Amino acid sequence: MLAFLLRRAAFGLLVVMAAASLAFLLAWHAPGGPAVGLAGEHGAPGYLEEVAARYGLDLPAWKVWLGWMGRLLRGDLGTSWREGAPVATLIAERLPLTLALTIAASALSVMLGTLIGLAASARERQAWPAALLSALHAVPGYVAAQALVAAFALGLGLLPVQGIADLREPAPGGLALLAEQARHLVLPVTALALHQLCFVALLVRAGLIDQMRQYYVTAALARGMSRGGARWRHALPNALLPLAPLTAARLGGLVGGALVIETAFALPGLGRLAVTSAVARDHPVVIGCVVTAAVAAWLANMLADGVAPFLDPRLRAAWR
Amino acid sequence: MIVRGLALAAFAALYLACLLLAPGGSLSSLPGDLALQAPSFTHPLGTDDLGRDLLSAVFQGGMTSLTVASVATILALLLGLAFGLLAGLGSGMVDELSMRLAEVVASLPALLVAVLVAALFGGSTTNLALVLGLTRWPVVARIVRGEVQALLGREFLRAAWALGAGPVHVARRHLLPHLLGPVTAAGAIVFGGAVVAEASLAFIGLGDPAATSWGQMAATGFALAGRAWWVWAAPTAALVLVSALLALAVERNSA
Repeated sequence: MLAFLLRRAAFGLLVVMAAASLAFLLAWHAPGGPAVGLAGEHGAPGYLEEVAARYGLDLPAWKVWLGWMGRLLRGDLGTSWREGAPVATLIAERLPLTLALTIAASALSVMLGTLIGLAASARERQAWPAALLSALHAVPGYVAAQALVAAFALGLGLLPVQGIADLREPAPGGLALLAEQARHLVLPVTALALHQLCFVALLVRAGLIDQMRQYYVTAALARGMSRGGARWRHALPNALLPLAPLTAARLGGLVGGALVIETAFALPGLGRLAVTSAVARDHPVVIGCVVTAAVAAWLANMLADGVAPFLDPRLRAAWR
Repeated sequence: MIVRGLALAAFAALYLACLLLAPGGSLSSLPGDLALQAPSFTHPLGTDDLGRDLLSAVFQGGMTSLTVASVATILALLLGLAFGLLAGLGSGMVDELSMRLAEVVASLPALLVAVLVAALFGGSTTNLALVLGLTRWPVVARIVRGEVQALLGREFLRAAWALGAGPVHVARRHLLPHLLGPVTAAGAIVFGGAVVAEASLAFIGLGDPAATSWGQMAATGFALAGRAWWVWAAPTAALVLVSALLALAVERNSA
């Protein structure tokens, strides 16, 4: 068990380093060279080389790469070229919003998706619930965002169109501020959750239909249990088992989805930071964002691996 | 089975329509008073802010979006088949190495990488197709490896080995026909994901500004949606339709 988790942890570290190296490679080979983000494109002749030399970017690529990876392993993300502030500070400012967005969307999709999957599995012989869920699963996040904004913000005027606070009014304090921010997050969370929600519902539906055909369910029915009771009490816990690892594995995708949703709703999250920094060629910040996303996915996978034996007694037995 | 067949046929018809009916070159603008016309018989999907016929624009945009997705899918299928066969047929070491590589690539934040490439190198259609293909092959590789391992124990394969067939012959003659179904399904998933990813990048503002694509049309159309909903709705509907049709075509649960 411990050896397994250690192996997973080491592998996660490898993935994080690979992601950082890929980002470094792309930044290094971007047209104009890595120092353009610092020196600008229209400097005097020789200025670009001077800036590159000052920041140690005139060395061979592998030397610079080794230096950056070494600092990364020591937990130092470097300094933003554009802002002059430590990358870790910039990310720490933006991360809570993205975390709130993804965690809320994950929770919503797991809970609501399970209920919808339960309802859909009761209509086992009908094809339309699964077809509808598959079709909704195919709707891109930003289209969902646009549709939600058009309906609930522009049409009905119930919720704010974008942003995290209303700038026309003084910021409230304490609980009112939290409520105000939550109101701004309703549409983004819904738009982000839609895709994952359909995935969960489809998974739960397929799992339930499969479990309801097992002998232990037949036995429960024979003892006089109702179909609904057997589905809820016996089939559901087994059908939910694959949910934890699959939700965790898709969290990386959810971070990518958050990037789109943050753009759609003009939210100052990590995804926005990554996009604006990439456009401005602020390479340390971009690499920091990639590393943060990879670490988040790694932690989620570790968590899923860690809780799996508590959810499934068979895994506990296998590891003992 | 009927739903899947119909969905696949509808997707093929839409793809062909885009290939055959895209006007090519630049779309012709109409006189200024024909801008933002609502859908009518002369312009079935209406006209956009420059007075261009939206139906032609949707076909033109489909050319771009579907070509990007096709190239990305072919790339992902080729890489996935290569690594999947290598892992399935190779020794323990080869298997371990290629599957670990697949896992690393699958764990990368794919959309973030695409954003990086688009921001640093420009969101040209070629770059986009390359990035999407190079980040999405592990799905295919995993499916191929699983199928190969399941097939390896079958008698016709043991007979082929016993008759002295080499791995290349076995892969081509005996494995590929069996892999066609699952690989097509994986390809459909990759294709739908690529269409959506292209549109998402265009929405963020990192798409190819020179090419008319569904994502780029929808992104510019949303600003006008208050006055002319169809400018946004036409490309968005096409995009969602393709993505949904492909999802339905490979959906296992619907009868």
